Amino acid sequence: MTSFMGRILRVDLSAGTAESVAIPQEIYEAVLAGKGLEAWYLYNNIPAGADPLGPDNILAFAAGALCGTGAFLTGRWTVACKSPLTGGWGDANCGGLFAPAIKQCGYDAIFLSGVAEKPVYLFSDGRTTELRDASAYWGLDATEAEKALHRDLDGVCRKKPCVAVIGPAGEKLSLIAGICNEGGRIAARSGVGAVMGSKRLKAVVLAGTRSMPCADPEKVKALSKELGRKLLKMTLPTGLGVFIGAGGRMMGHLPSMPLDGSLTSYMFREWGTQSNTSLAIPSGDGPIKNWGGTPRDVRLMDAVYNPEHINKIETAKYHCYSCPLGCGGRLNIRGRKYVSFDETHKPEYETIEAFGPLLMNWSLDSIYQLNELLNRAGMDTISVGNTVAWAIECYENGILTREQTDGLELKWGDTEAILALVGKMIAREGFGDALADGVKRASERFGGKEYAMHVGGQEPGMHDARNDPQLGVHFVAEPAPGKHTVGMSIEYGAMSLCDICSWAPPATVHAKKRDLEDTEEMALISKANACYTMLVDGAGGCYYGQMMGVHMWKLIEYLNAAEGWELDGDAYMEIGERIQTLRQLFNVKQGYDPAAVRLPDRMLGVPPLPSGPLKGVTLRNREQVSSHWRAFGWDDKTGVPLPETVRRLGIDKLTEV
Amino acid sequence: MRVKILPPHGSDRSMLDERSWAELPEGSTVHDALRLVRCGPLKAKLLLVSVNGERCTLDRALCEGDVVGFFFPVSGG
Repeated sequence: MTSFMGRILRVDLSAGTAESVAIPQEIYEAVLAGKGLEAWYLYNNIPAGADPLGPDNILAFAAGALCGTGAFLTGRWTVACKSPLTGGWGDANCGGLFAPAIKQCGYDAIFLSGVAEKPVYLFSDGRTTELRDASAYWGLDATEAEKALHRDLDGVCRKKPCVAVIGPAGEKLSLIAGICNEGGRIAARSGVGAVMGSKRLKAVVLAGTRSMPCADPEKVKALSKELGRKLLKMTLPTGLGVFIGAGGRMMGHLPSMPLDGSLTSYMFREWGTQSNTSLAIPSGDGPIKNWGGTPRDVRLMDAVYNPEHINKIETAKYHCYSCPLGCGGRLNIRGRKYVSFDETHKPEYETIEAFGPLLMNWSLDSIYQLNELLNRAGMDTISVGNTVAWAIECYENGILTREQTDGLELKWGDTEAILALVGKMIAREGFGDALADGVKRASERFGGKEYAMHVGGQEPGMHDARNDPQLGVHFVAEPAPGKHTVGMSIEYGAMSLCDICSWAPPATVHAKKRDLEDTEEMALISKANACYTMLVDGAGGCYYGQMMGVHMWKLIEYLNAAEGWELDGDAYMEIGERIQTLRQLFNVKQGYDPAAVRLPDRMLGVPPLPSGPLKGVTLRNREQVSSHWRAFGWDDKTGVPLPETVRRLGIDKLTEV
Repeated sequence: MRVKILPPHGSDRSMLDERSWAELPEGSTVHDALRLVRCGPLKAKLLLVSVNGERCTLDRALCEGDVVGFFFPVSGG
């Protein structure tokens, strides 16, 4: 026995049919489940040149290999498709309870092709699988639609269903739309919500109750008990949050070095990802003023966005499935300035950074409102923030006029204008309609391309590559470009991958400027980082577990126990390498040109910033990306995986279902 | 026995191998590990010294394979 359900659900929305398909064991051994299974299936089944918003595109929902085994921090689900934003591989990841719900219906993944004639939702409880009329829910925001589905299915299902749903942004085919679950959690990136909207699929509703297998549940339980004991004992001295800003200033001056990643869980447990905001603003990690500013432009803003302020209005913490950490929370925001809702999820770091320092906005209250608005609309806060930043800079420089912006005067830090513009983007109204497809398309229409921060069509996550050149490599070389979830060097220093992988270089103490060098060692680090992240995604793991390091969150031991395998770290890293290479092959098949993807000049440090922690930094990104490709066994000029690499990884032998 | 030590900035890493592992006599404590990398006890307490992810006192006995670490914020989110 392994942890896999051994079957997928294949749905044809055009024909209105669904079938359960068995997956050979050797596929799981090659790519695990989660993103790996999706990479294998989408590479084989989406025809070259498919319209991302047409019937040939396939939308996939998958749980990871470890989901349901009792392994901690393995409750992530991944949605994947051909991205309408980049034209290449697209994926996004979210937590909550939806991942086990997929497996409890009897499947490792659900693949949906075609386009429904009218709005539908997919219902499955493991016994009955059918497409149902969703006209009553079409037009509702994601949170309202989920509540309505729960209300209408109350008493009908054996358990409360789990719902993944799009809001108005996905329905209106906004290319920066995501897919939501559990009241506004969102798998936000790559335009996955637009693909779901194009299929007229409002929701996937799952209410299965099957048990989820595991080869050695006692061993998994013992590993989780050990991890849980450590995590639950973790506390920080009260009030420490006020010192985070000082920590960020210090970080800006420290060298790169190996760290103990396990202790980051103190911060996520105490504050969630918001703990990063006050670190990022002064350290150079967080972008400021559309990636063109310095901490001096937002002096003391780290105090405004200190996570202690957010904790004061937190009414409840919540956890993803199988997570003892609980970085999420609900906030009481009733009566606050700019706010029209009673409560919201605790905004993530990315959201605060994208609507705070990036826009020079000093109002935390407005970010609560924007967070709730966009979660309900089902829209990616990273992409929206970057697009609004472009609009403001264009307006300030006379590229956009008041007539074009429907009378909005777009100024840095003008909270009212930011709220109004985001409202227009959600409604696809007037000027907002042009911005609802992201910054690349907006700049192609209005000009101001020099202010449009995107990588291959996708707006970058809120971490500055001039502070972390390794992340800059992944912004470009990742098959889904612009994502911040793969390849940070500080995480590499915290993970101790050298202790599980024979070829992963040890993290060293060195001046940050050495990270700008193009060396074989740096290329191996970036490769190891990517391979391990793909392994985590195949397992359905949480990136915060990954960040704790291999000695704390024992992924290799977990996988061996859950699958009944006896593989070493090198063998598992090869699975990660295979997943990443499959994703790149998908891009090549779809005509996506990896060599055409570039960081914008500003993000490269051309010209370099004149002051602040990133003063004088210019990246050697193109050379580092080439070396990264070479380390993967891909052509170092084109990024195309070489035939011998494809053979070495056995990808040529992976057959179609 | 071999333990992994991930000391704070400014420590002496000359006794560690390239993967940050060191050889210590059986019965060694966290205090001994700190002495090896020349990290003062006060600094260690301020930076929340831990073993295998658990905060600990300096007299904590070490075992083969233990990881001695210190609190350091890591970006993410």
